[in-house]
Amino acid sequence: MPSDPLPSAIQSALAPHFDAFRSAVAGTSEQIRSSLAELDSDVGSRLAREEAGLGGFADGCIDVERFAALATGQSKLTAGAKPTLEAAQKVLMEINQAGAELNQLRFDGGDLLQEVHAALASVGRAFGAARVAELARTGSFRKKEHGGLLKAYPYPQWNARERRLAPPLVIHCSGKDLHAGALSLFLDGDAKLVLVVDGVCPPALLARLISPGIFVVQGDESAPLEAMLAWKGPGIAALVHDQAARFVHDPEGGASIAERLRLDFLPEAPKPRALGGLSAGQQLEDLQHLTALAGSAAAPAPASIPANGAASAPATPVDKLAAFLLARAHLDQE
Amino acid sequence: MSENCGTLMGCGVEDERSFSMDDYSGPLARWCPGCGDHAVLAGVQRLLAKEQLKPERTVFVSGIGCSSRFPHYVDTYGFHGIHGRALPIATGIKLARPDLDVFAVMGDGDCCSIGAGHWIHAIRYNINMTVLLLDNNIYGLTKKQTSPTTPQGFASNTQPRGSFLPALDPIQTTLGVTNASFVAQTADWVPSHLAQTLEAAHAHPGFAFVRILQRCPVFTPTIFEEAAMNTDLTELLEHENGVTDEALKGVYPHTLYHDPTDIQEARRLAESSSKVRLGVFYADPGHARYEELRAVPKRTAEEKIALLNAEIDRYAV
Amino acid sequence: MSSTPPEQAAPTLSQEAGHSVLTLPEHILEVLSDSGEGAQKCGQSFGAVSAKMGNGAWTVEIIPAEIQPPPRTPDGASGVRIRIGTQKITNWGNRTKLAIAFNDQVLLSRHRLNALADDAIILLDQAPENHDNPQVRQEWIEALEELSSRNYRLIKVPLEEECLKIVDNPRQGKNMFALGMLSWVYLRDLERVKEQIAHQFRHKAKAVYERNVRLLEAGVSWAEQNLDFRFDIPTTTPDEDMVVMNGNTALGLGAMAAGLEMCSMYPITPATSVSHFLSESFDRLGGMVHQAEDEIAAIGVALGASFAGKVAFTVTSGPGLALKTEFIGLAVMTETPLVIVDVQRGGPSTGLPTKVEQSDLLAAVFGQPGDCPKVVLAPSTIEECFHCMITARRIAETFRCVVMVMSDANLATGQQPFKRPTLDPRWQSVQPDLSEVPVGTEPLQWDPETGLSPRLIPGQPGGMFTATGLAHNEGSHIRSDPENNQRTMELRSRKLAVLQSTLKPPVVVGPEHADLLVVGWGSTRGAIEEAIEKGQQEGLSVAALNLTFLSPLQPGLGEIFENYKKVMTVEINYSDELDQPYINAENRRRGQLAWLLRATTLVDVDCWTRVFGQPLCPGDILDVIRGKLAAGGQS
Ligand SMILES: Cc1ncc(C[n+]2csc(CCOP(=O)(O)OP(=O)(O)O)c2C)c(N)n1
Ligand SMILES: [Mg+2]
Repeated sequence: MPSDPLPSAIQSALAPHFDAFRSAVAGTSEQIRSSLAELDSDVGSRLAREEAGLGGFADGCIDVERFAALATGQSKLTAGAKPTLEAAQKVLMEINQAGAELNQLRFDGGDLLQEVHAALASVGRAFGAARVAELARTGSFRKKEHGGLLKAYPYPQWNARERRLAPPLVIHCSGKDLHAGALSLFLDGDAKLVLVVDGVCPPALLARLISPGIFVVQGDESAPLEAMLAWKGPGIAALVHDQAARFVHDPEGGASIAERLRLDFLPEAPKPRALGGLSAGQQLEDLQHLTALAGSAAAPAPASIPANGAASAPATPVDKLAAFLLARAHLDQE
Repeated sequence: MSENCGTLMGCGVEDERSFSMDDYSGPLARWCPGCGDHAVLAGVQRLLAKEQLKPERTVFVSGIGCSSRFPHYVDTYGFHGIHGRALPIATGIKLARPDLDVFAVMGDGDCCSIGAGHWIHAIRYNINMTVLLLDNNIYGLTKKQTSPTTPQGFASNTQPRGSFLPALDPIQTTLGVTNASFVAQTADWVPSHLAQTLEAAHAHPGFAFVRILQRCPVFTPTIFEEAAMNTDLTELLEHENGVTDEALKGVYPHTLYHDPTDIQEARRLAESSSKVRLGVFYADPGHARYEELRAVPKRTAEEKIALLNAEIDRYAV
Repeated sequence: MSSTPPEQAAPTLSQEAGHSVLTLPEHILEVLSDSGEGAQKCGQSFGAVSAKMGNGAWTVEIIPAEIQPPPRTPDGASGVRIRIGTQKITNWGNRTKLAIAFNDQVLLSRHRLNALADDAIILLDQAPENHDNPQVRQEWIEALEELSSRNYRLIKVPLEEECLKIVDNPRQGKNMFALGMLSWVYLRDLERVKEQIAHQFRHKAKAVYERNVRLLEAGVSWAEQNLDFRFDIPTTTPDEDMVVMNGNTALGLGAMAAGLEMCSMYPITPATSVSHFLSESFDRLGGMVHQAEDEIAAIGVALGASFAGKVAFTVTSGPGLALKTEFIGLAVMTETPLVIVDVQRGGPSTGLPTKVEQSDLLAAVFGQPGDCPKVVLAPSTIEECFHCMITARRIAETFRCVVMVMSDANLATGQQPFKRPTLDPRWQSVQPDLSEVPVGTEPLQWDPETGLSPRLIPGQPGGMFTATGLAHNEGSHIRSDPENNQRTMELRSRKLAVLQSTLKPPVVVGPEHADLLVVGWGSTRGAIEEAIEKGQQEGLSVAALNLTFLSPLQPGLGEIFENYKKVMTVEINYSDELDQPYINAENRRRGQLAWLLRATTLVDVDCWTRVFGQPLCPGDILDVIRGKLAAGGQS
């Protein structure tokens, strides 16, 4: 799935997470390689392996047969495990080869939920392959039961450790067909989603996802992605156009929403049009929701107050916004 | 990321084990009765159980000395090294396997004398590990020779008319090293404070140095006697970002509210005073960590060979 | 001192416009300058280009001990000797046939060391002759006087003058001008030379490359107009892919090819460049170079990493090896695999830091307090520097032991072409399997026969143990009872015997029975074998044996020695000579390999060793062989 290059700040925040995952994939693949080597059962290939393993310096110096007799411990593996291990290794090598591409989804409209599901199921094949390899090593692999793990390993089946180890999923999408609320399904365990939103989008795209245990970041390239990615719990970030709200909800900030939520920028009211399956009204409501939450936090003033509300604009930010929303209410039509 | 040990093997099985203090106990500790090391061992086992650290993912590394027997008494992985060299071994383990939880345990001769060079550099590397200096102000194992932390005037077998020089202060020294990130002091005779200090140190992401004042009933019974008996001689450093020991409220009359992010104040407090100061002198998680800077992702054999071939191309005839 | 070896083929002479072209099977040349004038760059480029064209080649750097020795001093001479040939070249040869010297004083240093052939052609920068400073002019006169004791053909070259036409600072131009002259003299492929320059200046601005090419071309045309001789050393197109590099690069590449994942080191000449090389590329392969605070920490970190499941190595030289001693003991005692590379230099103490010596052999085999059995290997060619790392890692892991790899300054900086290694995934280390083991699995389940045992790695549930340097049992529990100590010492020692049981007897070069067998180890191999070959051509009854395994020694040495009337070692380390005051056969201190061989075979192995700080010349070895054979019966 080709994707646009990520802005460098984002790239460098994500890179260690992608690397760590890819590193574990490569490590697992190497472990399987070691197991497969043990499986060379016939003497000839075992000797050949030993001879190769000793390198050219040993040529004419070391009696490979004798060395091999010392070196090969009894393999606990049965020969039947070989094709399974090879299949698992192939999957891991593919995933390793795909690198960071695998963790990036380009969404061009359609069913976001379905696509995220598919993308994660594909990443999940790495966990599936590790499971398969382990089952093969202990002789408990059953093709009917476990074979599917190499094809797709859907998110709902991941256990907590797998969710913690999974890399963030970057979703490149256009703001006009993004309905982020649906993603809450994936926000449990340690799942991390990063939306790179192209063009206009609902101004408070992620407001609905704010809840005590979820790290939510909406903002531009300078958004604190690292903190979200380091959070030991679910997190989502959206990199949005500069007319959208910018805020950070950090579950570690404190017990009250005021301590957790920092609102950095509140935009003008959205244009009266539906975006991402949200009516203008719903978009306003989201913004209202965000503002209400931020009300208890110290919210900055909206960037601009429409002229017709300006005269009587009340003093506090919450009131300001309420007035602003009222003034705009008549635009709520599709 | 720290759970990731470079493989996905094993993560398909949810780990549902739970561990009690007993699960971390090795063979019976053979220190002298009344030795402060017993209290430290208990405190550490308490920490392990509280944090539910997986025994197979935890490594205790030590040098040589009475205190360095420590790893044998904890049922985790361990490396009982050579005199003064616990920190290089711990560094190697952590560079190779950032997923392991590493503790280094050293005596005052071990850390502050023969291992002093490594000590300084390990502070600067700031690798994430918990580092315990069991400071009894004497060489215990080799039977009462002066150590760098022996109080001036205290007689030993090598300086029988009293230690010639003023003692080196490990807290001051640590605070003086560039990139120090966590420095605390506690004592074997205040178990609740010890426990909380260990917790804070373990939670700190970086090189967490804890000097534990440790009584040696055989060779230095007098040195800490007064401090242990007379609570008036102790001052507790308290802070919500450091340690605040509720159990000690009312027991120790002197407390000082000290923000451990203030390095200047920490250094001032480390200067000698009439009181023994216990608590977190300095803690700042923001320091550069060597093992993070040096993290290298693994490669498969095939990838390595492709890269190596490209490298060898440079030398092709 | 040495006789010129008989040529392998008769030289042929042909005449071209204004100059002769002499076709020769091989030639030795040197480039000499003050430090910082780039003679080494020039010479190494020349060597690399020659190798790439299909010549056999061997280069040896001439390195002053100081970074910036005073200019115009014999001690400050910096440069390189290059020996090229149609066939494979295995050593630096005897004496130089052509030298380019950037001043009279650096030339003197080589003259005084007897490094120049009597009929050598010398291209000498004439700038000092008319120097502003009268002292320089005086030195020039005296130098020429001193040089006139030989039949050198001295040609004055306006090196500085010509360079000044292109660059302001001739110190930064002479080497490229000289490279141009040499390229013309030896009929080098100029396109390849330019490629080499481009590679060398790849990190610099294009203008730098262009300026250097102008200098090169100026050198070519000056030579064309002014010199009347050229040498053609015919090249052969190798039938397999070849690479050319120095021994330290080969060690570094070998380490990566072997799947080693960490190089933990502290800088020390001449080992450091292994880490320079690795620092550029190791991390891309998932590896790391850790520069520790000292050599003790360096090995400690490597040991910790190995304990945690990575295979790590450390690279050092004599003084560093001394510091690592206690940790080597700990690695042996805890049976943690570890590879230690010692690029030997002149000792003792700081000794001759940049020069070659083979004086660490006994320190490697026996140098740790307590019984400390470990494996010691010695590569004898640059190709072996690459391949031995693979074998070293494999042995270290299979035997849970320390493997020492003994290279030296000669291999470290010398360049030699060799067959391009075909990389094999089976060379790579095995990734530790962190799966659970039954509770109570012991960390040292010694096989009672072989002493071998499988490893447990932190992370494996059920396998928790504490490694310790104190005497211990199977469980790594501290034990001090007599039986346990005796038994565990036996088991650790037995591993060497077991390894030896897999080794084959070494192969002698030359006749199976003869009057003399010359035994060597490491980088002297090429010079020894060349001397033997020449000796055989003279009708001498002599054979050579090179040992790549020093601990354990390869089996069958005693039997091999029986086939020779005399056995002697030739080594670059110190031994007393019997004709020196106070020295007799009883108190004589011998070459290090000689000690080892005498002790293990009970054969009266003699030795000839030198500590000149330079590689041995085949001609000198041949002289020794002649002398030894002439001395008659008693050995
Ligand atoms: C290289 C080396 N030098 C000296 C010793 C002897 N030695 C063992 S422990 C020790 C000092 C122990 O004192 P300390 O580190 O304070 O530990 P304690 O026994 O007091 O806990 C000494 C000098 C040694 N084992 N190794
Ligand atoms: Mg002590």
